Amino acid sequence: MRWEALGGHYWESEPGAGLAQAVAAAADRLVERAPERMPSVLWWPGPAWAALAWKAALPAGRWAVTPVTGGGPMEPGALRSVAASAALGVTGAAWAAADTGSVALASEPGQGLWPSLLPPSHLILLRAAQVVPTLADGLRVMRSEGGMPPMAKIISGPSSTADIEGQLWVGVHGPGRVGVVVVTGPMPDDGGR
Amino acid sequence: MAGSLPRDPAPWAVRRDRALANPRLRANIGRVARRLAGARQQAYASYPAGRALRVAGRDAKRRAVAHLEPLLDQLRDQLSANGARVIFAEGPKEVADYIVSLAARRGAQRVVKSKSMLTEELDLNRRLAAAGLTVRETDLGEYIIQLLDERPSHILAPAAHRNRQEIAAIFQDTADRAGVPGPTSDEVGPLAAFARARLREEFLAADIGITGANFLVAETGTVVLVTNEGNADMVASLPPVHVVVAGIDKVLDTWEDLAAVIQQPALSGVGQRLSAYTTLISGPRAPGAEEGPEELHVLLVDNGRRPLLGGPYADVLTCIRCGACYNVCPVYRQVGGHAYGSTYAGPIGAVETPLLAGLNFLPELPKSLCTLCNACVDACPMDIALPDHFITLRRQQVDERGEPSTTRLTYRTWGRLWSSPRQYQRFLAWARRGQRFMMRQGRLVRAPGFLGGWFETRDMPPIAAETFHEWWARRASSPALSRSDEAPS
Ligand code: SF4
Repeated sequence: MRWEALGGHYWESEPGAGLAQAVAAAADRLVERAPERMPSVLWWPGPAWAALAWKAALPAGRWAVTPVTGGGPMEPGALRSVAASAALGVTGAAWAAADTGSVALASEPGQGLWPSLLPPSHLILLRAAQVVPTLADGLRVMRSEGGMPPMAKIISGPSSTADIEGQLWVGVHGPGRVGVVVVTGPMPDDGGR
Repeated sequence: MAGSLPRDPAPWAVRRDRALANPRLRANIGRVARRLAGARQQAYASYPAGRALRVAGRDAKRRAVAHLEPLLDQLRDQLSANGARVIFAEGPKEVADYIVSLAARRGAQRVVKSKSMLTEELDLNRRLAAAGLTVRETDLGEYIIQLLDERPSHILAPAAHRNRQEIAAIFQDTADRAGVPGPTSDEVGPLAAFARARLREEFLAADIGITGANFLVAETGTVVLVTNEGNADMVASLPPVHVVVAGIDKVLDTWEDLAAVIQQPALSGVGQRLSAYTTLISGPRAPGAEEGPEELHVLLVDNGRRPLLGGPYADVLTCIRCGACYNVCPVYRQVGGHAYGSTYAGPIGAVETPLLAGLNFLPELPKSLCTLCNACVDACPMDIALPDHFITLRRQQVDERGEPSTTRLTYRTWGRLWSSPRQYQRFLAWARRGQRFMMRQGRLVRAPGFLGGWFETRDMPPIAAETFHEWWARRASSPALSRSDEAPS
């Protein structure tokens, strides 16, 4: 993966207890803690990660987590303001491409894209089996999975700009810190797909 | 029908001199252009797959432009099936009218935009503002120049001509007017943070989001946007209405074709393998979902493009606006984007502007802003025959408008003097006699009459005391000269 070369953070983990630890380490690395304020997390990795015990990874004393599970939004409008004020958004992924170091996300029932956009940090959960060699392969995956989602995005590193005197600056609109936790080995809950 | 493009009222000589007399602009533009051109070369050098990809991408775009109408129909049908509204629009007025009446129906007031060259071409912001809408550009560079009330000077770095201090000043000014704290310093970080905070509020409050499109995929009815900042994602997913304003030339046939070309804007533009965000929009929000716009409108705009289809200039429509030709162009590097007088600059701008808006629109563009150095055609990922187009356009201009009699007389005289060896040698002998009055420090720096114009910005070596022809003639007629004789220097 070229993900790290693009400025993304990267962790690998086996499924199980190690995974919660990896997620905890990732959250700690991606979020800048302000004193006296518990960072809020929008946890929305989609149905594929329903079995992952987020409470173990992001314990209540350290993180204020708003989970979106089972797909049903909280109240109309609430989700957007939660996303806009969260310090960290957690999502799943649709696929990832090794040659460009990109991770793709698709909006579908049970998976939104706002956590990948509005918070200053974004953590992606990815299964190793979702990594394909090239971007073209990834696009093919998206095409073959039936109808197109209303919105999908391919993320290749943090939000960046060089609009002021050509100097690179990360985190201008979207997240300035992005991380991915890649889970190697079969997932217990979906037969390893 | 010819399209309609915005036009700087200042004549070419004024625009040119304004640019040339601004050393900071020239330095900034030159630096940005060289940096991006270098990044592009490095990206290709470190990515062997890039070359083949470029050819595949070019072919995909060419195929699409060759079958544009059926693809547009397919795109419309597919997008409609996905729940979007698709409108074919002729030019600026139709686009603005549609958005204004949409805003009226929705009771919408605040519009946020991500960067789109087409909406610049349509002068859309001005038209929407005239109808009472508040329009906010959200790409950082576009935001800066919108606050300054300027036009982009570089296709990828719209505020390339401004430095940090100037940007800090306009941000402070904006902050004062809004009654909020300004940027904490004129370093890039605080400036970007200020823009992020200001624009975040506007994203969340906006009623309508307007984006362009980098590509449109007919097969699936998908609008593709690439950005590095992520602002297009905000514009497309936060407001309740998303309007895509796209040129008809953006359509591609298949998803495979998209895969072939999708990396090109980043590879050729800024030297990345892919932009930080590639956004694929195929419809409005799904029923029951909370995210995404309730309404998706896609306006497919002609504005002078259809007349180019099937003609000698059709390849111009394969342009992906990567800016690679700007960055290598010696003329662009000197004068920057504003001197071109309309939306598009660089080699493609000088060629495409009169093609879209009519040969009499800014006729100086093909005539005066190209040295025929061929750098652009080497850089262009789409292999657009830019130098050939310059020559053809110049010929067409002369055919249609004629040339001033002085120009014709000059070339006729020159042609007569240089078209036979005897005349040429006589001309040189004559010029050699006269040149000693025209020299400074061993260089020829002046010439009599209108020929003097050529020397205004150049000099040249003087005519040799003995030319090669003269030496040759002397050698042939004089047996004393042996083969070892040196030729005159
Ligand atoms: S003409 Fe070619 S190099 Fe210039 S912007 Fe268009 S695609 Fe890029």
